[in-house]
Amino acid sequence: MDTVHDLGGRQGFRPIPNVAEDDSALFSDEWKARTWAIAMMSMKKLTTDRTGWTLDWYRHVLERLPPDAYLGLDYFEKWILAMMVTSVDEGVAGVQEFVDGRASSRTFEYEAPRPAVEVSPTGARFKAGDKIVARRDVATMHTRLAGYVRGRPGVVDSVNGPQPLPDEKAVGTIRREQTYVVRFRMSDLWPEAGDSADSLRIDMWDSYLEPA
Amino acid sequence: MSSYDSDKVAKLHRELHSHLPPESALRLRALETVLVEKGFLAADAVDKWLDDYSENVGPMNGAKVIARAWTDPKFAERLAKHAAEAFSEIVPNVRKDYPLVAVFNTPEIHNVVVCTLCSCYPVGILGMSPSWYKSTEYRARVVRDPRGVLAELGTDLPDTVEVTVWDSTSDRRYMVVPERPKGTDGWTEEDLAGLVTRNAMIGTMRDLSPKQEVG
Repeated sequence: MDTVHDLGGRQGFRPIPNVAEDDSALFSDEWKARTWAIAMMSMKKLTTDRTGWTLDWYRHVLERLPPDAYLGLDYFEKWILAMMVTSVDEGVAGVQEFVDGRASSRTFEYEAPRPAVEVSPTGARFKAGDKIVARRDVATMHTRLAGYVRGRPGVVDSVNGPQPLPDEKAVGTIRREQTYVVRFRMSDLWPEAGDSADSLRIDMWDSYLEPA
Repeated sequence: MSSYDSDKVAKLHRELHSHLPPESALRLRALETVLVEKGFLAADAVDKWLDDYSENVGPMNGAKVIARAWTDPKFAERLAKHAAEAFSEIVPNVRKDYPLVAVFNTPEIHNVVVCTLCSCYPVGILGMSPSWYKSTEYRARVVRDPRGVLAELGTDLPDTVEVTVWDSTSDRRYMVVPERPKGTDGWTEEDLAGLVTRNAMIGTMRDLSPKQEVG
């Protein structure tokens, strides 16, 4: 889905905020630190308990925030909502319990735990130096093929080993595909780049690419 | 189990966002209280986790490794080839299979890192990223106007330096290795590490002048 999270190259944004932040501070507020800790521990538990939860499914949960909330909320505010939604989706708690701020019962039960399913990997089609074009259309629920490179020509910079394809991992299927770093010239991405020698390198899965 | 039901979670977001109190700290407290009362998380788990995190993880890990790379060319080669293994030589609790990539600045090339689709960052080694790194402004703009964004963050790049923007969309995590500043011959690794900033490891800072912050 092309939701509002796919921000690369969007114009009209303000100057970068909080640039004077204390370089040594990991978290600017206690609630942010606790949110992060809860998220990390919850993710580990859901993985250990084999509920089928995957990081790509979680990313999609974040992406389904209402667009105005996605753009308007702080990073950790988004994570609080996404962790609550995840807890409800997994059967750990109910919406009303979070709204009340307390649990109505002291136990929970996952509905029919089911681990992510591993399927056979797909082969690599490209090598370093190959010219490619990024796929133009994406029909999957979740993808890591950024909108701003779609349909653009690039060159395979390096071949970096297989990783589960996010589009399938987001729905509980592990299919390993070769990944690459692909290099795009700024002038092939942005009309105002002119003859700039600057470039962009981005991680891509095999099925995101077509031979040029 | 996970439903993988996109519309279901979108609906849950709307319900929760419209019924929860607006204050972030209250929302966090509701999340923590319910998960602990349900027995999903242990009561003292959050404090323990945070103590451990602040002890083992942070920008100092990257600074130490970069200082070693500046003083030991063989180590720099290992860092370039397999970053996590090189890290584990200096910071033993770093997993050797952490998918970290070190990209090196040179007099001709400047590297800068972003994750346009969320906010991927080597949090397991360098700790939490700066809040501007996670902002929609940075994610939208740096892939399109890296020089303008760097100028806002205090780094003016000459035209003779080529910019490479790294958009981290997969499991791989990137760390920029800045150049060793001039005027630091004979410095100890500890003093050199004191020059390395978190922003330099993202690439929004290029020149680490010895005048700025000697530890």
